[in-house]
Amino acid sequence: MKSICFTVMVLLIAVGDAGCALFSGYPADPQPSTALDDLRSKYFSQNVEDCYNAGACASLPHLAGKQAIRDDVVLTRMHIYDMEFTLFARELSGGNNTISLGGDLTALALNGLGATTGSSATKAALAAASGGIIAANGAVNKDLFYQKTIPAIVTQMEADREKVEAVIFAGLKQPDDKYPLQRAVIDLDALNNAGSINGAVANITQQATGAKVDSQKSIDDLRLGKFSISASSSTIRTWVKASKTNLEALKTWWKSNAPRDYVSALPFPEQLENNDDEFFEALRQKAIGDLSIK
Amino acid sequence: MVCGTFTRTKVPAADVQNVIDAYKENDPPPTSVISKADGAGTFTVVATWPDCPANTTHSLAGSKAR
Repeated sequence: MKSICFTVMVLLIAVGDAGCALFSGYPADPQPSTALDDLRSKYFSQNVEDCYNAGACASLPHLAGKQAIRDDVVLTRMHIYDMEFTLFARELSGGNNTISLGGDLTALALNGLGATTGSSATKAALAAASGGIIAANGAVNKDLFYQKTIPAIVTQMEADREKVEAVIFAGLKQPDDKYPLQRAVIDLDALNNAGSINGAVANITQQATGAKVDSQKSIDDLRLGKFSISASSSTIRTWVKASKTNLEALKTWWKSNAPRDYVSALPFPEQLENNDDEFFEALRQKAIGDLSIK
Repeated sequence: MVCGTFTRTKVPAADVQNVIDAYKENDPPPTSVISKADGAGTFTVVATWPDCPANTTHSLAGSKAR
């Protein structure tokens, strides 16, 4: 019994501690705290570039030849950027971060979380973020938005970095005269920039714009379609013809339940009644249920 | 605002007038609605609104549900 009480106490203390800590969601970094500084000073020095240009280097004793030095320098700098990015992501995810995202993220919210798409991971994270962020009065809860959106932003930054890393790895497969260190440095700069919040927000917004273009195709796809012979179509046609009141009720329902651009860009009630697209079939079923159409 | 042309194909003869009427219920109504037999026992109904303005975007917020 004594031991059970002790265990419970330890657990309570542990949970209490976790609640107060600046929890970033990342495991502790096993590297010594000075590792990053050491690597920075060694691999971002003029000495390293001189070594590369000379094709030999006393400070990198096991390497000979420009390509070997290039590979070592590029891979190590990538590692440094990875470490920097991880620290940055930890700072973002921490409970008491000091980084202000300000207008960028608010703008992203106002651009419409619902309209934002992207990689499935980003989409899922943003979808999860949308709940509860917009208050009943339409105001954006910035604190909640920040907490819930960070995973999406970090996911986008990681995706952006992976793209640049793929370019660098492809470059390293080439001989030095085709992918010299000077060229690799440009890609390394791109890698560093790919981990920025601005870049991630810009890409997410760009993807949202792309989604809008796709949506326009959807409208155009709906310009030509087969007549629906489903029971739901027949039911709604008959109900609408029965009275003007029914038509007005259906119009009100349509405005509340159809996608916003369907309402403005598609002929009503023709599309709802007659389009044999499965989406419209689902809409009809919902209308029949919501309006108790028989 | 509805613009351009919308076409409904494979409309049974008995439903052609329903489709025409449904198009005409739109606000604003189409500038013209015509029906034509397709040679397979059904009809094609074409409703025309004024041309879409250049740079029209149909940002379809809910289309992702499809």
